[in-house]
Amino acid sequence: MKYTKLLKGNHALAEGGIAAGCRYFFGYPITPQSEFLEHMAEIMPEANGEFVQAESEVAAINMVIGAASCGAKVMTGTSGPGFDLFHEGIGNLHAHDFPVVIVDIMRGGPGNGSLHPSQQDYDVCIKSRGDMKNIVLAPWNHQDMYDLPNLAFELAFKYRNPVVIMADNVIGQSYGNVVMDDEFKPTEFDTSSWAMSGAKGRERHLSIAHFPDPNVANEMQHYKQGKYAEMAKNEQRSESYYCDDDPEVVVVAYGIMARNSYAAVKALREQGYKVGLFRPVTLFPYPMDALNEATKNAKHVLVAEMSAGQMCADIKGRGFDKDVVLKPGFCPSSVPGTGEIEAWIKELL
Amino acid sequence: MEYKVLIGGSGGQGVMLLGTMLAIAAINEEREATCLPAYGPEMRGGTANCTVIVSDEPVLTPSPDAVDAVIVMNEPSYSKFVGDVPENGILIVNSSITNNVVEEGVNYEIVKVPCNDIAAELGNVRAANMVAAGAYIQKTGAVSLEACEKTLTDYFGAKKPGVVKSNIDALKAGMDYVK
Repeated sequence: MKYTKLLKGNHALAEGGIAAGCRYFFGYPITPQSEFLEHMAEIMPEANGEFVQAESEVAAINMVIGAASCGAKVMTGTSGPGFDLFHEGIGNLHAHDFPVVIVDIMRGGPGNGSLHPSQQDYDVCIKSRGDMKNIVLAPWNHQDMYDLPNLAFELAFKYRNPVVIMADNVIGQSYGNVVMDDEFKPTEFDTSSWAMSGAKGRERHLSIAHFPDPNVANEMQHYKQGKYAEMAKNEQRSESYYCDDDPEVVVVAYGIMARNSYAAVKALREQGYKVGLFRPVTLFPYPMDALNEATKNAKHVLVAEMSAGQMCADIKGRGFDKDVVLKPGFCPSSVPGTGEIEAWIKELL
Repeated sequence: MEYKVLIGGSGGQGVMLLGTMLAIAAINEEREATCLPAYGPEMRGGTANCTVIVSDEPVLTPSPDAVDAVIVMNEPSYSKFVGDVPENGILIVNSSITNNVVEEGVNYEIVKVPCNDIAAELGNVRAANMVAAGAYIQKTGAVSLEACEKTLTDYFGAKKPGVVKSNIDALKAGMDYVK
């Protein structure tokens, strides 16, 4: 049965994870992600799953590797400083081709950073050392926080790749409507060809994170890049609003910036201006085809993001050939409001 | 129709419960809502606040540029958020513990409600937040009394019928006070 609840974004992630079949969670608390972990601690036992609050992020991500190696649906979550500590483990997950869903509720700045809203983890979320790529999903409302964990597991198991759900603290910490379905049946994935399930009666499965043999190393690199090309072909996801009538200005934004930009675009449409919004849902693979389509006749493209232009540089690097205006050009300590975004757009009209 | 309210008070005054109660009441009416709490250093003592939006359509953004009503539960919150009251908006003040309210020359409606005193008379001073909620829903019609009653009953649960009743009584008393 479907029903609606008011959920905190971080709680919606936990509920969505359990609904998607996640039965293992290992993590370490950090603002603004802690309520995700706390809610997992509450609801995981009811789902007969395992929850462990580890002694550190380094321990947590290694516990995640253990569960992932067995083919289990496992999640963890953190914020920027913890994501820094996750990197070694994420590298190993890539080396082994283990599926996992990682949540990053971003905070601002380097080091321990600020507790302000931010979109500054874009670069570190889409990439991992050794030319590796994480699939990255960017929720913009509470419903996405509930729905995306299932998509994340589908992609993680389809490609045997880490998937990051990257959100900002406005969505993570605020409450909103979520439609839930208590009869939802998540996909059970066939892991029999690779999972470390005990080798009794079959050939043992070997998984290594070390590639000293040059032929093996080359083969691995080609396999990985081939996998990313497949993702780019099949998994680009995005939404376009008011982009069907060749708008003069198209705003490109994700997360809370897409939310506020949508409000700005809607207000300007009501005043008769031809403006549109393009919202990437996957940040890797980036939905370049839909971006090119949405902006093909636009006079101006405005990238609105709370960083010094990480997404902007990414689309440029992927060959986006239109001039792009970046706003606000840095990460301010509060989210630019609808009025501010309207003013940026009007400057271009 | 969209209702946007900023609620300020100090930790322990039930500001978050007041905010989420309004939002859940909206969902009980099959409408849409968001509630954005202030977070960060302010969570530890000092002022607590949240912004609630109730709407017949999906809420555009949980962090709006402006609200149409402000509820302040104490004097520090009055000082901090009085500037957020818009022209022709409503300011609901917990006058039991907020004394220095500027009333002359303002371009918005001030509704002074002695929330603590009314709640104390009803025997549950902790329900002062619901007195303010009652005043707010009576003045604006943002959500119905019935939806709030259902929310409080679900929230406190069958185990605490006395708490449910005292909160609903406080809600009704707040409504009556501003009628």
